[in-house]
Amino acid sequence: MKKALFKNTFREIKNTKARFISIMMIVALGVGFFVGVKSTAPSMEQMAIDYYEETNLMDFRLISTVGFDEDDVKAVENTSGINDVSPSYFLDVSTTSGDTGKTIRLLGAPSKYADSDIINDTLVIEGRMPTKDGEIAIECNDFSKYKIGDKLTIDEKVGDTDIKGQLSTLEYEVVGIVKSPMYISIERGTTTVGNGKIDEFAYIAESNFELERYTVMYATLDTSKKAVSPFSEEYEKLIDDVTDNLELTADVRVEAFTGENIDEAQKKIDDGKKELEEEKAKVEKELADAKAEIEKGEKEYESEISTAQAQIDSAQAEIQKGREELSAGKSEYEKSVAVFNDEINSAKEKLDEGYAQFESAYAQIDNLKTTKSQLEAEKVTAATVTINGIISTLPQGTSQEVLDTLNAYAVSITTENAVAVLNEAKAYLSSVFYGAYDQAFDMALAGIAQLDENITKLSDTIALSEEKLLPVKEELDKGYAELNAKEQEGLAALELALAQLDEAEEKLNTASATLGNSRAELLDAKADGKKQLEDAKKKYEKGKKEAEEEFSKAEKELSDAQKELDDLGEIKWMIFNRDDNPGYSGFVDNTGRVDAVASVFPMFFLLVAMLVCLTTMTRLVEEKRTEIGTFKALGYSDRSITFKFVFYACSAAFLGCVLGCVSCIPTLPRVIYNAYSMLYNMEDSIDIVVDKMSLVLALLAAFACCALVTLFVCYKNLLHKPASLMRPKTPKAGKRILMERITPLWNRFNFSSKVTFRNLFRYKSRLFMTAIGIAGCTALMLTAFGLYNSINDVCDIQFKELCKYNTIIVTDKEKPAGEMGELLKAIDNDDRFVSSALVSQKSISVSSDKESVNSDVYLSVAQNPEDFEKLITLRNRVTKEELSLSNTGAVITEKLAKMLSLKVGDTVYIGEEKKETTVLGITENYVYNYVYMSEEAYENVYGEKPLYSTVYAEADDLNVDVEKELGSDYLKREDVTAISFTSTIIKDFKDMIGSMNMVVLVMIISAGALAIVVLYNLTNINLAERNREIATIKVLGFYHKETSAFVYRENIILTIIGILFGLILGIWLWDFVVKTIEMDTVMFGKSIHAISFVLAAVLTGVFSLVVNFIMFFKIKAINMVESLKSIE
Amino acid sequence: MSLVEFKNVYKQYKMGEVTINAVDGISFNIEEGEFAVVVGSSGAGKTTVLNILGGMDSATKGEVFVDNKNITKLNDKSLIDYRRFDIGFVFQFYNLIPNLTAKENVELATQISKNPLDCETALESVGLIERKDNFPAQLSGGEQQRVSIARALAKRPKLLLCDEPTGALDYNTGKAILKLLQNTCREEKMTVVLITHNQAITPMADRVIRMKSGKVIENRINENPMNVDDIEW
Ligand SMILES: Nc1ncnc2c1ncn2[C@@H]1O[C@H](COP(=O)(O)OP(=O)(O)OP(=O)(O)O)[C@@H](O)[C@H]1O
Ligand SMILES: [Mg+2]
Repeated sequence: MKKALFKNTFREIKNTKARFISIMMIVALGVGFFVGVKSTAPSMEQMAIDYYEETNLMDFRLISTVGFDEDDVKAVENTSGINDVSPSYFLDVSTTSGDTGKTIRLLGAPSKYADSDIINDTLVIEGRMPTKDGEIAIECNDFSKYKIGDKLTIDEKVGDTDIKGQLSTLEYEVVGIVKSPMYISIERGTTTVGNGKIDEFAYIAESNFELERYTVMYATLDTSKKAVSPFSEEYEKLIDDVTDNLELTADVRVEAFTGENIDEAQKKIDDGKKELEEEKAKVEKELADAKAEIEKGEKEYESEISTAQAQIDSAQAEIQKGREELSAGKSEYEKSVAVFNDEINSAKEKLDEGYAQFESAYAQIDNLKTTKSQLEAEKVTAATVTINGIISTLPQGTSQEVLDTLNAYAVSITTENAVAVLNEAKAYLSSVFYGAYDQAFDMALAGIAQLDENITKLSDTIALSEEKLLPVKEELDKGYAELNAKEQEGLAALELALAQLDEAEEKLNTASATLGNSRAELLDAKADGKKQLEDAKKKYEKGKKEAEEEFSKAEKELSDAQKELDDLGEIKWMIFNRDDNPGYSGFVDNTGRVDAVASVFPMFFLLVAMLVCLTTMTRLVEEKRTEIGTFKALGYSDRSITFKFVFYACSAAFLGCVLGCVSCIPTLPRVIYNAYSMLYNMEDSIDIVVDKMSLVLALLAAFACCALVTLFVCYKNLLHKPASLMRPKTPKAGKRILMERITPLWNRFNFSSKVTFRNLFRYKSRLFMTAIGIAGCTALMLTAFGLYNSINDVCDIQFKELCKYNTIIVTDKEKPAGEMGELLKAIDNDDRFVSSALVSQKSISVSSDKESVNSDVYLSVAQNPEDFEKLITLRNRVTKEELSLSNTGAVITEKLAKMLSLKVGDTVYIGEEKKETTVLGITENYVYNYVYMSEEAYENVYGEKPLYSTVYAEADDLNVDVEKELGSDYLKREDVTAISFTSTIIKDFKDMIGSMNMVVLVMIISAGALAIVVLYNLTNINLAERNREIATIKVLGFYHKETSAFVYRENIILTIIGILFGLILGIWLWDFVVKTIEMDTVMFGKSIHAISFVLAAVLTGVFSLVVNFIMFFKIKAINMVESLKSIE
Repeated sequence: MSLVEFKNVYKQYKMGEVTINAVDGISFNIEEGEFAVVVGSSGAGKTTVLNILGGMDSATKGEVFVDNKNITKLNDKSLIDYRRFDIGFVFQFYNLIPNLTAKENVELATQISKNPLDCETALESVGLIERKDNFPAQLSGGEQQRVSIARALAKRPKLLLCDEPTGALDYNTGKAILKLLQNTCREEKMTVVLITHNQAITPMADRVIRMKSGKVIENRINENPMNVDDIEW
């Protein structure tokens, strides 16, 4: 290059600092970010490789159903491809010391076996490894709350398994805090005891294990670790090959074991069975004899009783007969009494009748007597009347003497003297009245004579009758006397008979009483006999039962032995490699995830960098038209002229690359690893391994895009003849835009709006660059905020909305719901708990027709779905519609459904046995994967009721103190192994999330940087391009504010468009990133919160405002004179 | 008092050790309604004077009065107001906004003036009413300059400043533009200050100011200004 051109170029850079820095910055951002993030995965990988090598992490882990012996170890050692083998022990136990119960995997402290290197060496963080009995080293993870010197007691049993017999001591003292290469993540793996999750691991001296056989072997590959990266495919192939070799070894050893142990054991069992059979036969015979004797006694007893009964029965019959006779006699007696009474009565009746006749006859006589006396009275009356009548007829003046005499006569009249009186009276009167009244007297006398005659007649009749009646009466009296005598006689006879009857009855009663006594005696005898018999029988039964129990015990022993043998069943070796270490594959996946994110993000930066470069260089070249023309006219070649601009662009790119690499490569991988180191327990820091491929790629891309863009722009201009280049460029023709056709709208715009809109559509590259840059910024920011939401939602929704329980109680062993009563009652009655639910939980594998998921899936069976749903919300994530468990199928969690591509109504296969059931619903869930079932549904699938081991409970106002209290209260119980609280899980999660937020912050900062660079560059070019326009309107007298608005409007509109696009793009990018970094065990939140949209938009807006604010001063500073001095 | 009065005005550019006196202590005045022409060779300081007069540049020393207002003492805001309401400017290279049509370019001025001409009237007065919807790129140089003049006139300024308005135009077009300016001055009684390095134009002016090396070497009133049509060069 010619010197002048060189000088010119440097002056150019100096004059257009802002543009140069823009290109440099965008390149720095793009390249730095890309290479930095891209270097993270290799750096993390290298760290892992170094760490594994340092600790000599095993390549294989072997487990057998029966453990291993020295011969097995030797066999493995001699397998081709295997370098070292280290046999060891492990045991899953539980502890209730400390606040909560825990399931701990006890591992034998790594030690040198024979002449091999120590495999899986631990890193001691504090203290030392255990060297003698009763010492323990605890892992260093956050959730392990032990300190050196703490005491730890192992439970005697875990579930049904006896631990006491497998360890020399249960009391340990913490002597060290360590980390192990086998546990690089916070995952601790699963176990068959407790609730299926291992909480912690710990090391004890191997001598502590009182086990006959080794439980595990660790082996390393023969190949040098340095030669083959564990992340390479080569390593995978090696593992596959050696696995095949190990399988062969396993076959041989299993066969040997079967020969040595199994067959012998089987023989022992068979012998035992035979012996048992014999003994059984003997005892059975004895029992049969005893039974026969009892039966005989029974028969005797029966016959004796029946004889006695017969005697009693005959006596009874006799008494019965006597009673019958007695009652016959009684009735006869009664009959004769009746006859006698009849006879007497009829005789009496007859006598009475005769008496009555006599009486009536006598009454007639009385009547006659009455008539006679009447007649006599009549005679008196007639005489009296006659006299009184005569008196009344006496003439007046009859002397008183006469009257008195007459009256005296009248008064003195009686029956006997009536005739006489009358005659005297006649006589007297005749004397007085000379017979005048004789006639009257005579008449009266005649009448009286008549009467007298009648009376005489009557007297005769009466006398006659009386004479007749007398003998009748006498006869009657005699009859009465006779009857009386007869009655007396009869009554006496009857009384005698009655006395006889009474005597007979008395006798009978006595007999009856005697019978009763003998009957009672018989009953007593019967009961006695029966009791004796019963006792004999009981004795027999007891003997029998005892014998049977003994036998069944013996049988059970035998069958247990058999079962144990059968359970060994297929003796199997399981060969695991590093992939089966908890978290190992996750680490590899995670580095892959970082890589995937790394590939997406910088795409924006590169694209934007290209656009920035394009607009800047276009502007630069166009500004230098005249200059290019001049150089051309002076005879410089196109190449050297072009070179100047390419040099300009490339030097900016170069400086950008240097700046980006220097600032991002050492920092970004560390920041990201820091975030991940929360999840992993490896080295604290990483050494940076630059991903050379990406570096070269990024540099090439940066240079290529700058150079190509510049070449393109130059090419366009160099085509022109020098003369036309030196002439001012004809201003780009104004063009009508579509919007103008809407005249009413257009006319309402003021000139600056018009300019704005026309500009927008005229300078398309500028439009795109700004829109894309701002959209990218908004999108990145939205992704970052969305990611923040997604991560935080996991904790917030999972533990606040979905899992309402905050306490988990694990029982001593799995048992049927019926045996849980006591614990459940205790929890029910504990008013610190609001509600609780009994749950059966185990780790399972699940598959659908297409896919399968083998780890981190739990089958959770609710004993009472109603209680269960109170503590675990089952709902559709989108509609928030509540789901419920029923007996027809299972509810599965969303992430699981996605991994298995299952829909509601599909069939899902549970467990190794691939039990079929229907997907009833898909529920929102973020942490781990669950298959929820009701007890009935489980029964329908498995044909038996589940065994329970877990109680979820919700405690009121749970705080640290309450947790401590609950912990100590419940761990005291025999039937509780562990009690844990979701608060610790939440805390762990929050810590983890906190570290992820660091990555989010990095993203937000880089997004902001992108926005500022793009906007600054854009506005800067915009200003340069419109320098003249701005100067012109300033001359016209526009205020600063009006002038700025003239420029800003475009920026604002582009910013708004960019933001809108960015929000849409952001949703897509967020979705991609979330999907990429999501782990199998965690589903990130599926929504971006509204506030995140607002924040992303507002922040972008703020960046835009900041840039505009800076630009305001630039606009103010535009010099009218200089800008207008020359034509460009 | 005159409408424009320069009192001992200096404009100096300091280039390191060297000080260039672009305007070297000049004093002159222009009366209201005059058509003043400033002539001088290249680099004489004409444009500098005009820029100072137009409020686009500041004088290093001295005072400039326009309508009894000392514009060298005005603050930023008042200076903008001065340009906005008192000054019309016609540039050598038109300086139309390329993205606005002829009419819109005129509107650009009328929108900010207190008492503007109707922009159609302004365009009519420069004879471009039919081209009002054309963009600058669709107009010839002379037409663009006429739009530029219309834009300046539409503001109804006290002072119309023109810096070599015909510099980029051919003879006839230049003549037409000058005629337009002269007519405007006569008819609207507008004070016009026109810069040119073309001596031949001076006869049409009411006042001729001759400059050389930053100094006014002649300021004379032309008793019988000629019509443009009668001048040949
Ligand atoms: N920004 C500046 N820096 C230094 N010197 C300047 C600057 N602007 C103008 N000058 C000098 O001031 C002097 C007057 O310039 P001016 O533009 O006023 O001349 P002019 O009379 O308009 O010439 P022309 O007819 O060529 O346009 C010139 O000598 C120039 O060199
Ligand atoms: Mg000039």
